[in-house]
Amino acid sequence: MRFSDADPLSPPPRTRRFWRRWRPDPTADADAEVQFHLESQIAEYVATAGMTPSEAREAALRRFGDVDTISNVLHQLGIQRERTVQLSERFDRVRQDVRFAVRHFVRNPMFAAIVVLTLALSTGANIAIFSVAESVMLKPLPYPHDDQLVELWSTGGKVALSPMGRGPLSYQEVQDISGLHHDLSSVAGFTETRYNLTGQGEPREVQATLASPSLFELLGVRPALGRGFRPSELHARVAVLSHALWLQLFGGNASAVGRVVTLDGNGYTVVGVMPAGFAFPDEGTQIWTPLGQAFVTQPELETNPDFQALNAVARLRDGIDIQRLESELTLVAAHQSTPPGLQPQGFSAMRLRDEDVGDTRTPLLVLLALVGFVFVIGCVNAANLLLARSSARQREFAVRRALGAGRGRLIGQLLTESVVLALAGGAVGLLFAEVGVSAILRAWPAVLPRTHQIGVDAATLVYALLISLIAGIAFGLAPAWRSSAVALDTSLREGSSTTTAGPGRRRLQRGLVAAEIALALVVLTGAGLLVRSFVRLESVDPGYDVQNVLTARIRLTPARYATMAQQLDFYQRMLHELRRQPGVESASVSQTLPMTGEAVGFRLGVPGDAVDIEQDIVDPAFFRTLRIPLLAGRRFTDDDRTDTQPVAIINTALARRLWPNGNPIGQTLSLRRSDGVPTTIVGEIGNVHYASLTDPVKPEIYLPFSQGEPRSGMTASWVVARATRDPAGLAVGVRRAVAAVDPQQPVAAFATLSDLVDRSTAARRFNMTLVGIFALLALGLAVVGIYGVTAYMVQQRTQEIGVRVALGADRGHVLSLVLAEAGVMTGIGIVIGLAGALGFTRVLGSLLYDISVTDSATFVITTVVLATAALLAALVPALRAARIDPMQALRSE
Amino acid sequence: MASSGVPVLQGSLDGLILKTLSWAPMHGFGVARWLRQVTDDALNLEEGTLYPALYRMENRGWIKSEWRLTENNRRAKYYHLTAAGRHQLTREAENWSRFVTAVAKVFSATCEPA
Repeated sequence: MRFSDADPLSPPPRTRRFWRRWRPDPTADADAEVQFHLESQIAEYVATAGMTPSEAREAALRRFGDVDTISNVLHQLGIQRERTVQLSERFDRVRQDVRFAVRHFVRNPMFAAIVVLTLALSTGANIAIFSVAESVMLKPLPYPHDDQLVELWSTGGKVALSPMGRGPLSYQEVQDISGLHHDLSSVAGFTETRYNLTGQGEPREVQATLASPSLFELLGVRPALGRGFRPSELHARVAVLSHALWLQLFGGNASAVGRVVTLDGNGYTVVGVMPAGFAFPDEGTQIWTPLGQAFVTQPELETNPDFQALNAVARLRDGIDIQRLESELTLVAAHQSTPPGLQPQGFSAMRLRDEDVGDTRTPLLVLLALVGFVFVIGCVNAANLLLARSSARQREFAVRRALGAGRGRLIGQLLTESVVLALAGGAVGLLFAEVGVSAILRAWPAVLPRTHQIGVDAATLVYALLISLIAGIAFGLAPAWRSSAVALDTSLREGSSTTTAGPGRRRLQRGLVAAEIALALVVLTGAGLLVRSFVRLESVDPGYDVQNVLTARIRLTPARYATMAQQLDFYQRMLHELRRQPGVESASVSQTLPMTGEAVGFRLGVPGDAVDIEQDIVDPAFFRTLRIPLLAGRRFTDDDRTDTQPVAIINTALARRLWPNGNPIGQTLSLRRSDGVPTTIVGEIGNVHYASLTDPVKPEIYLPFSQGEPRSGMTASWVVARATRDPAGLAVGVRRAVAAVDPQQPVAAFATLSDLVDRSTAARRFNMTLVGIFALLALGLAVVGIYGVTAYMVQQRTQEIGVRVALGADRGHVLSLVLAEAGVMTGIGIVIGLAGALGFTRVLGSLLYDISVTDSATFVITTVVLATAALLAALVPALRAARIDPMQALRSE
Repeated sequence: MASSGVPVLQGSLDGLILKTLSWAPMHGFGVARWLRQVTDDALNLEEGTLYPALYRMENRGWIKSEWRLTENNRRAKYYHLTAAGRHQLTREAENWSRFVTAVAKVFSATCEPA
């Protein structure tokens, strides 16, 4: 073995060793030096000038100067020097260790590449999920002091509350809350609506937020161009554009400010343009107008203090916390009148930041946990590789120990090696993460909130560095500890270049593989449950044929289509045009549509009970177009008119609810028509999933549009068109049909019905795909781990196996010997893994559909898959063992 | 005797020490003794002040020290020049001769100021 001059473990030069003995006390060092000087001087004076010792001493001191002062200066300089020397020596040692490590890996590129790849895959997955989670959960909102922003809710009153117990506020309530001057610096109410924008090229539908004039100041965001709303502009027809709409309408021209845009037929003066990235309340908003415009379309909002239809956002004053605000809100609520029979009014507040994340938190935390497991598997794998590797270096370590390197020094060197590997792995992993995250965002642009903030940033880099260091130490420590404990005499005495693994190391290796298998099983089981859940979801019958249907939204400009008759006339003429377009098999309009998130419901009083019913107002062709099966009775026809008997069709769920044992056809319901005539049920159709595939089907009633009540008009509706093939191609036809009837009328939100259904399951598919990828990663790493250890074991025991074969053991025996060893590792890992999986999958509950977190089939399947993969991985080296030629095996020694 | 000699100019001590060490590694007392010999003891130098200078120059990397045994078998700290120290010595020598030339020109000047 050859040591180069840069070898960190070669003995330090003589002088440095000499130095080190005196190092502890630079003070004593300086004193000794001064002492030597004075004594030499005295000796010289005595010898050459013939002075007495005391004379010589005096003369020497005079010649030297002030001994105390000089000694003090020397002490300080010495201590200072000692510090720099220590620092630079430590730095030197690390640099040498790193250089040595790099050289070692350059000489063993395959080994290094495998470890780096293992680590890159596991840290890469980790970094990717971290960067997403960090952006979604930890990054502040793009508003100054975003922790002061709260969203306000009603927790009582007249309006139905969301499942989380929240409801909108009335304008009066927003005003009342604004009175909390001590706690809130500002309060803004807002509501969302859509406008038809005309006069700028093609008519288009825009999503608008109508807000109190103070909104922009409250959020602390200045328009990029022009100004926000003035306090006096509550009722003014002014508008602020989003950056994107500004580009679309005015090509980014600054002269947009002062121009007039036409919304629903009314002119609004553009006063400002918001900066890119401003997205309040969400990324869909294209234009902001003052809240007063909502009073025009909904006068009740201004006049009726119980008309709750507003969201509200507020800014806390410095030093005020949510608890304080909520207690103040309780006082405000106490002054609210509550109509009899209703839940008393109350208010609650929530930080805007927490509100924004919503329901992506659980899946992200689950993903973080899973990539954590993958990370540990990667580390364990790397540790195993290092252990196997270190057995081949046993002699090298022994020589170093013999030459004086302490065990700590050896551990330091080995840890440096693993940290170098980990950092390389982390760097490659960062690359994987960057690619992975942009792939995720491309594939699922709508699943995550605040996507424009997601990406590899400084926090991600710090995180990557941190987990790489942790990985380096985690997977390096055990092998370093074991390898450094070399028995000098035996390692050096043995002639071979490799020595057999001691029982301790072999135990450690097997333990690590078992741990890997266990973790892989946990991840695999999680993935298995999500996949099986998704398969069930995919097999849910939505109740209609999703193929080949194009959908689009039409919002009739209210001023132009004020009456029911005008609306009916538009739809009928439009459908007449649309059905003549090439490729259209059938077409219809309806008030709501499955998977759009829209629903119109009412409560129907029945004798002794009340049923919550959702309603849909449809054109007669609706059931045919969506291919919703008619189970009894008849469909609507063009003969169902305002002057004929009012009719309705119900779904099976409602039929069972109201007439559990009878025939619903011919029954009547009182739907509070203005003319008081009861409505007759003429047909029963199959159940349709509206809200999502996973929600239970609700009782549904369908009313023919042609008989609709004037007050339940249909200004907003959905067009559905079934294509003979390629539904997306029908968009042109729909536009043409609409334009033929009214060139000023926009059509929006084109999507195929299957897109809508996919969108509703996108989050689940997102979770399933990512977890699936991590499961494959975990499986792959575990397989590599068990292969590596088994192959290593076979190599180590070549001689022993050779002897066994020579003594008459047959191939099958050797094969089973090796497989049994792998089997034991796998078995132990699986037992631990099953227990771990039972614990872990509980957190998956909310992500699963129609499958239990302890679904036994999933557990059995994943166990079998993992066991099979593990045994296959072990089979390769086992077969190699079985083919060992005893003559060769024995001769090779 | 030191008290009666020429004072050492501020800043020239480093150069003197470097020059001394350029002959051979020496301990602090050796440096003092050699300076005394070459100058015929003409410098007014408190020899203790050599040591802070030596320590500072070591911190700057111009000289290095190691403990060795003297011919009398006593432990003493020997200083030797580093490459940087050699470089510094040349610089100090140049500066000194420029300074001497300049000062000499002044003292030997024959024309009065214009």
